[in-house]
Amino acid sequence: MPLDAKKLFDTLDREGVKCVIIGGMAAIAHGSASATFDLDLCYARDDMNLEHLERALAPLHPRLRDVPANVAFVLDARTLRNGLNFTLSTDAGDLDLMGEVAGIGSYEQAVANSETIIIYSRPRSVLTLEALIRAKRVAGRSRDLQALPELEALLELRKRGEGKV
Amino acid sequence: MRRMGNDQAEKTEPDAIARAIAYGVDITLLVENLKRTPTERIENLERWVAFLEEVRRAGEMKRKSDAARRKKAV
Repeated sequence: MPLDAKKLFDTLDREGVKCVIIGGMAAIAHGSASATFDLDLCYARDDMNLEHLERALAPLHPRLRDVPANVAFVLDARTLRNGLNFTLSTDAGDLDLMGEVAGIGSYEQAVANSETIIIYSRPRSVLTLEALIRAKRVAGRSRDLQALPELEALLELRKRGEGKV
Repeated sequence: MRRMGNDQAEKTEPDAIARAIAYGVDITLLVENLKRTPTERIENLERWVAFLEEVRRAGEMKRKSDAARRKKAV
């Protein structure tokens, strides 16, 4: 299912889900020219937000990625409470829900390391470029490390006053 | 907005930009992206991903039809 970021954002907005945009989509929002195929979010783990997530995502039929379709899975508040990170396929594309971000921490720390960026006409919390770089360094997988030169160049360009936010 | 070719940046900037260029990052793409709004950047990505999906699907169909042709020939 191709990514429909607007649909995913609209769905989450309707229930007022508390989350921070992280990963590749945060990099894109900051100006990265690298492709990403999913939306990565760090979500708040309080009970109310888990219920909001459940209600928001249900119409998009979330299922675990890379798990056979016949494996039973229901993404409800209980499942979210019992887990932490979920790699999902939805009717609006792939969505990764992360309870924690490497090198940053939980939602509260992610918010403290985010900036507000207008995306699809609404202010949204996006991990700052500096925090994204830190997270990629700590995560340390080869694909994270490969992203660093571009992100550091973007940071430099921003310091020079290039770019719209 | 200032435009910066890769060659120019390499000569003058022994910094993150030069390192990125040496790594193979096309700085001109980043500069172009930064002229867009964040929403435009995401919309651009979605168009690109949709195109990649089309290419992937076309490749898959071609491989299938080639395999079927080979099978028929045997």
